[in-house]
Amino acid sequence: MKFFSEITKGFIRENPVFVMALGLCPALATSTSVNDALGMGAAATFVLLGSNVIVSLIKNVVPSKVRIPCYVVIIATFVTIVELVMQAYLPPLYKSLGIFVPLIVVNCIILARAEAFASKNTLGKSILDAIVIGIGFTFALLLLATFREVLGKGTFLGYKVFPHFKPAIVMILPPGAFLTLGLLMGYFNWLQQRKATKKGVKTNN
Amino acid sequence: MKKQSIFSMIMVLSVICMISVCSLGFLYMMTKDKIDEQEKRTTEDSLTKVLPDADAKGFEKVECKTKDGEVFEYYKAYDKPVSSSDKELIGYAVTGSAKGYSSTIVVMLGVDVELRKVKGLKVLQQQETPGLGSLCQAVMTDKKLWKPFEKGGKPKSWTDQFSGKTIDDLRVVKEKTDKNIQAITGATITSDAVVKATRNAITRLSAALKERSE
Repeated sequence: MKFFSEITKGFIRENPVFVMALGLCPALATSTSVNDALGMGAAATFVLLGSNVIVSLIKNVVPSKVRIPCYVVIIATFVTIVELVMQAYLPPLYKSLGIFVPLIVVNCIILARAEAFASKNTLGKSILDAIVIGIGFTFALLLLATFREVLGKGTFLGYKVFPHFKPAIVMILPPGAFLTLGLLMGYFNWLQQRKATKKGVKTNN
Repeated sequence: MKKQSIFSMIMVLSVICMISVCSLGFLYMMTKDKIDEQEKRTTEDSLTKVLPDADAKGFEKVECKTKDGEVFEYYKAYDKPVSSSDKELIGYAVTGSAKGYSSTIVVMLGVDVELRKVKGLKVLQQQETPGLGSLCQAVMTDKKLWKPFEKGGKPKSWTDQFSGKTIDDLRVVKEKTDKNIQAITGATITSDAVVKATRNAITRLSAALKERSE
């Protein structure tokens, strides 16, 4: 049961975007299309996995005073790997994501997980954490992108969704991004609160 | 004790940096060729789009220096591969740029040998308003979610209407037109800028051709 809750934590309870409010910049910027959201989610998950693994392996070797620069170098290395591979094998996605691929280096989620989890846990747990949080991030991006692409462009993955539909362009512009993010954040937090009160009522009985 | 601690900090950080640099250098060497190939393919795609009746191997790049000392390049297009002896020049491809609403717009223009008629136009770079000005570069297919296996039909873009029109007639108007260019709804400045970029391309090309023949 505990293992299952470890897996689902990335989706709702500890969702990096909607609950921990991390990685908001790429979440807002790359969620204009479902295609970009999937690409960014996959890239960030790869970097998260790589950095968690390395940080967990060297956690006893790195002096605590210099750990942040070390982690950043490791993260930047993995991001450069992603950049080079994307440029070589997925050029349209690379052009689409543009500057947000190198910006994965400063995505708070990755440094936060390295500092708060991977540097204090075993390799196995760190790998699981990276996968779970990474999938949660991708899930958040997908949710945002679905709303924004369907309402703002009338398409999903490039396919038209409605036969006659004039899209609300504001959805793919910054205001639409913040609106969608805010509403989803509110919904997730409401879900959390409802669960907490339900649990509270249960234990009281 | 303190000296040891600083020493170990320097050592650990240096070792991590060295391993990182070595592995990235190795990866860079492995992907360099593929990346160059992708960039070449992007240019080839643009050339074929703006000069559809040219042979796939019929493009010849020409580099020359302008009076200001800048390097200027354009492409000559032939109906047969460049290596064949009886090829005929059918047009030129050249880039041009102009200031748009919120960015510099770069286009690639395919023009006939007399520099009079547009053979094709493609927007290479732009950062105009998403959903409005950015539509100047958008390629639209008609893929529908409720008919997922229906082939979306030929991809269309706003710049398709440039093909076949005379350069001198290029003007942005609001209504549907055969001679001029119909503006993007809500993005007249961007539409104007694309036309300006086209003119810029022609100006640069005719100046370069003149210099060469002198």
